Amino acid sequence: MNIAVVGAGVAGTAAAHELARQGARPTVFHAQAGSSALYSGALDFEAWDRVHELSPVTPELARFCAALGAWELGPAAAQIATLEGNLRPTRGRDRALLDLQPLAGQRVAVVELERDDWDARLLARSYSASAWAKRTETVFEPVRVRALEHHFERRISSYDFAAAHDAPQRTAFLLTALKISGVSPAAWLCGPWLGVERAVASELSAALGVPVGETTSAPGGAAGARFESARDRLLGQIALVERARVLRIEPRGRGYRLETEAGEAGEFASVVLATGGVAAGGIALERSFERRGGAGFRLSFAAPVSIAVDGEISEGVSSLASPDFVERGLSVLLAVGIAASPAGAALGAPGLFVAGDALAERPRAALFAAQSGVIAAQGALAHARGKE
Amino acid sequence: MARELEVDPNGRALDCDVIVIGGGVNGVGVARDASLRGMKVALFERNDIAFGASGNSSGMIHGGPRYLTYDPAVTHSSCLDSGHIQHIAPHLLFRIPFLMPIFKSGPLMSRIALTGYDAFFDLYDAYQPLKAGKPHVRLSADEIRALEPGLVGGAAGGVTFDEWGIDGARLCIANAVDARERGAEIRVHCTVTEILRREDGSAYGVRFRDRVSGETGTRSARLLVNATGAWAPITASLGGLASTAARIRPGKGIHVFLDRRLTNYAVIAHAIDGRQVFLLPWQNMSVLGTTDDDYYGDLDQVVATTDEVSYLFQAVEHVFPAVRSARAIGTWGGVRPTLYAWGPNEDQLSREHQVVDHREHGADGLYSMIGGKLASYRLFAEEMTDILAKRLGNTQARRSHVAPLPGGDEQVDPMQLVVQGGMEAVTATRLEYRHGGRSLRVLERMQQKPREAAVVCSCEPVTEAEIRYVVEHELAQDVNDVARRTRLGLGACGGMRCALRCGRIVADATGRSPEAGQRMALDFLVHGARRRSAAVGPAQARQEALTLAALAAELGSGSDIP
Repeated sequence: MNIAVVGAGVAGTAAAHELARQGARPTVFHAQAGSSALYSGALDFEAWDRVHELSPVTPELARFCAALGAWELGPAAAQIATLEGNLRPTRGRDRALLDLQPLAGQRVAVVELERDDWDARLLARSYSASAWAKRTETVFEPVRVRALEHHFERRISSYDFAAAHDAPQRTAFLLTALKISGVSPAAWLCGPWLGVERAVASELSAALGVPVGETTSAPGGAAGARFESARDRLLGQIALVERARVLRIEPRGRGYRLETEAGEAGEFASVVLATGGVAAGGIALERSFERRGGAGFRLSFAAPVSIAVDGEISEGVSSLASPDFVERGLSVLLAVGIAASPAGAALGAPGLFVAGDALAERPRAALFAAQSGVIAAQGALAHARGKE
Repeated sequence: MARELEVDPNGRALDCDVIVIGGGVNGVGVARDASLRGMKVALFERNDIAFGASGNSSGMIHGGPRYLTYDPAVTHSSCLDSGHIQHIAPHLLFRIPFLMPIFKSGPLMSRIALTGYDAFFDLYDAYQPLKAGKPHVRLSADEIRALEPGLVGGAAGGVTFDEWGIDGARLCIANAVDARERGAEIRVHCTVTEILRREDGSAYGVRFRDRVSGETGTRSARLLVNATGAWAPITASLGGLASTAARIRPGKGIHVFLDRRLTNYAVIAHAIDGRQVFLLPWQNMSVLGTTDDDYYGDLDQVVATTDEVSYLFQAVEHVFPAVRSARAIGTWGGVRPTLYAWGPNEDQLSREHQVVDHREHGADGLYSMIGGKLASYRLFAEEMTDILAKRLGNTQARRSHVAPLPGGDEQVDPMQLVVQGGMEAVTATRLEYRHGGRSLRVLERMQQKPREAAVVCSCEPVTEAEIRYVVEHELAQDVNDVARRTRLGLGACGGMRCALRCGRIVADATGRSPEAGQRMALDFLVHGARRRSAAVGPAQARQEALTLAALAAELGSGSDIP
């Protein structure tokens, strides 16, 4: 049974895991970092303030999260601190993010150090002023910690700063700095700096006996890097990974033929498209000012599927007339995607299944993407089995 | 001076000599000139300093070559005044060499055109020394290709000429700050709701409402100046005058800005209707401009449309094809307060200015400044102030062409900021551009509080010290105001990485809550997104999608940007 997954963000990885779990060995094609690498570390099914009840986590999704190893999906929602000074609930999270829920009513120290992208004093003030902190009487205090080893660390990217802590002696340096700060808070809240390859947050927590964790990451920060690292480990065990850009998907015999920039890539009974939306580059905007009207959204590869936005399917293949963002609003950029059934089956292309941000009109949230990957994989598997 | 000008209708002494309504370049220019001459001034601005046409112009102090053939006196005075502005604010000016390629069919026509332009700019060269400009150069086809390899082939030759660029908003801020330091009361986000008049019709003051605090009050003065640009007819009607008493022909002009300098020279192109447009290297980006269309919409909500953006790109594409794949990161839209005329095409309208004395409409003591342009703001302000001085019996000498603007009195080497402040070179250079000698005051903050050296906006870049400085000393009250003064958040990421942080800092500096800081940051982001919408292309679309997703992760559905 030959099944391809195109794209290895959250959705593609979840699809590959589900396929492998059910006994298939998928081929995963991917070439460039997408929007999963830019996520914040929070795992939501949709905009977090729209969720009033705890969204159910299917057993398949829970298994995927466990297999990935980087995520925590507790029995209840967690409360996390964002890099922009807000506290908010989240269904799941990157393991390094500090869950504030068990810390309600206590004193949380916000690590103060001289990095350009971090202002512990104003952040602590902002967290303390939030509704959750006031209701639970949780207090956030900035605490000076000499956690910079070199002056240049003020201005390196937060990803680089996080990666520096992968070195065990660097983690020890931070541990010492926290110890000699002279305070013993109920927990330590750091920026997104606690390692990429190693679980620095849990090491520090164990060593200090109190929780140590991060805020969310800015796009391109530690959380996305940790996802990619965990993803590479997982896919290495369960899938054939082809690091090549897919250029064309076309019907061939009973399935689809794939072509990458490296050439012919084989035939597959079914294909999961987890190629991302506009942010990831899976859907591109074309615009020529001389030929206005002739350009617009299109897939960044050729495939017999339709693009849809606002419930409208574009005429022709893979294109949409030039949108006027002044009239439609920029939010169109988050709504445009491949037209598919609720089960992820691409409209008009039996055997093609769609997951994640590539889906039209679906929330751009990581847990939703993972869930849609699982569903698309199940569809792809059923389709492939039906053909056999 | 007539005796009744000394008191209000209740017999109370008047608060000041002059009230200026409007914080565009004309208003702040008058406020500064009058303050320099010792008059007591109050200025009211409904939005922010440089909110309208002044902060959304092409950003040039040009010498007016277009007037050369029919009114060389205008060219002379424009060049002379360009020299004055250079003298009082040297840090704000930067050289923009223009390149005018000639495309004509046939070698004979090309030679004739080239000879014509050559002769024309020979005349213009005579005025260049007034503004430290360089003489023009006639170029062969090969030379043009060597200078700007991105130009489309087929140019028969061309000419260069020299102009000066300026950040219009910074120019206005410098004038406002100077007026304030010389005793003027400058109120921003404070709208005039009524022009007060005596029984005999003469104007003696204004009623105002602070749009942030909600505070209302009155201020009285001997003379009033309506310097509200495109808002002038509306302002006149606040005094019970017919709006035709301060009539203008409002002409909307937009600019598109690109994420980097695509060219070393400003390149002139022709649009589909034959109008001249340009691609301008401006500060650290490129600017496409401009359009000119009659405008009847909301003056507080002027934004570029997709059609206007397409019109500019299409025109520039013809001479510089690579602009097609360039990344547009925003637009400016402003409305020119052109002198009223019925009939002529927008481009044929005069860019001249005039002062309307509303005594002819029964409102003695009230004047309206109509028309004008950024390049001649100082002259226009001086003319207006001369009239005020005469009415008030003020005989002090004119000094606005010699007294330096804030930051213009002292030269600072950006490398000094690097060495003493630990700033990176690009941070120091940009800081010095905006503040001139006063960048030392920002440096001083950093030395006292090293935390403030943190770079908050890395696109521009802008430090926390500068944000706090413009809040404390340059009348900034929210994130939009800070952006206007520092260009924070106007780079490729559209403020995704710095707007919320800036909001927290402004809230902290002004004693407001973190939540208020977040609200003003969101307001900035929504405004920015609206202004970018018309120009979003392939590369920026990815950034916009990413920004929206990142904001939703941060703030939930409440972050929806229209």
